[in-house]
Amino acid sequence: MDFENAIEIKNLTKKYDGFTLDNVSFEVPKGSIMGFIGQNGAGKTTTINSLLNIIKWDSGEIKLLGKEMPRYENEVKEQMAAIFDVLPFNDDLSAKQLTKIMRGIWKEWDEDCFKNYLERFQLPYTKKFGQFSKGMKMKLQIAAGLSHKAKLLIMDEATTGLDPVVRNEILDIFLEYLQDEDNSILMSSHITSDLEKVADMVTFIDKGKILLTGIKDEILENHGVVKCSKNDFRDFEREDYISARVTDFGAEIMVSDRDKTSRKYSGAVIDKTTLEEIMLFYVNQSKNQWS
Amino acid sequence: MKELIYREFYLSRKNILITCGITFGIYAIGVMCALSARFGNIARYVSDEMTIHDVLVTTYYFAILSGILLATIVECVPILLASDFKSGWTDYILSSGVSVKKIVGVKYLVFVIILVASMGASAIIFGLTRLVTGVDAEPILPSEISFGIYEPVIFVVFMSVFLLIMVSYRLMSEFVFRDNKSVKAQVIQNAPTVVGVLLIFALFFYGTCRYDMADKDEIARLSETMSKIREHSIEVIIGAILLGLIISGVFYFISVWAVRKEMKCERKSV
Repeated sequence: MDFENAIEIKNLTKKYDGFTLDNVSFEVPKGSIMGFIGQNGAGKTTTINSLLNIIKWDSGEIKLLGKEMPRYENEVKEQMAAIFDVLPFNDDLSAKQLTKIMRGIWKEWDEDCFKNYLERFQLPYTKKFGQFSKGMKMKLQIAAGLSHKAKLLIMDEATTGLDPVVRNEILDIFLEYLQDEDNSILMSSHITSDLEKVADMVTFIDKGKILLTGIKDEILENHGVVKCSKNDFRDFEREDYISARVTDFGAEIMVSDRDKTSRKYSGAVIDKTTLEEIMLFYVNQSKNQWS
Repeated sequence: MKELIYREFYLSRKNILITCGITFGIYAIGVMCALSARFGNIARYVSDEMTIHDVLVTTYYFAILSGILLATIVECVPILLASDFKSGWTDYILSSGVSVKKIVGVKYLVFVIILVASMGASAIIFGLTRLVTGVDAEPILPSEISFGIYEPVIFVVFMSVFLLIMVSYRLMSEFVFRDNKSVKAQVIQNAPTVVGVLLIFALFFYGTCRYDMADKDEIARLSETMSKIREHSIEVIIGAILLGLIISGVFYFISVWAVRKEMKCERKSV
């Protein structure tokens, strides 16, 4: 596999009535999990649908597994698996019928591998999907996705609505899948705790624009929250912080360079932060302060 | 391809079986009447030949009703397509390596298979009716303009062509409007079917009224025209089928275009 990035998006633009995906660019290196974070309506699904070529994008370039889309679409899609937030297979089907259908869709469909995953996930072979729980349906989609030798998993809100036990189980499967360094995952979610556990890289999107993209550990390392009084907050210059939450009890200020902040504002206590807090402060960065 | 066709039939099997069951039930009543008129109680206790003949001919109406019921099975294809859009199956299969032509083609192919099978079954039902009753179908149209014993065949062919055009249109509009539930989309999707059915009924009643009010000269002219058409019945039937297939083909290409419209234009197969 002679490519560095499993996904390369450059200046992707798609205009809808009242929403624009605006020059979205990011990369997912081969062998990594990219967490794609944003609130509902931020543009995650539009980006993913563009990647899958389900919707027509207006401008920009997309390369998947080193190949230009949509030129090599059929070849690339054979090596990809899309996992959606709802089960796309009819409730009237069972795994037994699904495996027959999948043989006609995926050239590399491996029936034995699928059966092994079903056994491992404790999913019944003949029970109709309509009787499956949400967790079982998600596991089924993952089993189907992993049974045709996909090199790239693209997941749209796949863990949303699942209980923590199932979510953890699924995250473990992803980590196991990444043991093969040719495999990569793009995982969109607004449950940042999941991404904090497994993602190597994260990209934040809001109102169709990329706010931040990079290595997760570096982002968490560099960002921090300064907790101080309202009076101390007034000393902060605007270019030194992302945004600030000011309440009657004091101020919380998100900074993107902890070292620089501690040098410039000696005595400021900078706490570690989470992806959720970073998302909240970035989403509100257009406001000088918010409560 | 065959796996996707299997999916269509598997998911439509309940609709198909229920319709076949109802058809069988209705046709069985007709057959029982015919058997009774030939060998059973009606034959034993009714001495009037005309009454027995009328009972036997009535079986053909059961056959026509059965044919219409079987033809409605084709509706399961656009119904399943609408549910595919809703469930996300269409997005899933578009995210796989299956080509758009194949995705759309499977729907049209399954529709044509069901149509041919249901029309074939209708033809068998008519043949069976002839065998059971032992009498020919009485033409519905007046003798001057009738196609005689070929009327059921003409009926089956024209119903097939009508369904070919209407259901192809339904499929195309599903692909164009996807899961759009707006009033405009609903009207555009369903209006041609409603207008088509109403037009057929209107033409039938207009023709009946005109015939009833026509004088001898007019009937003679009509009879002459019909005899010319009868001479070219085969060409008329083939022409109607070709017309249906061409229109259906155009709807198929519009469907492929509609699905691709939502996707990148510079598509290259590898």
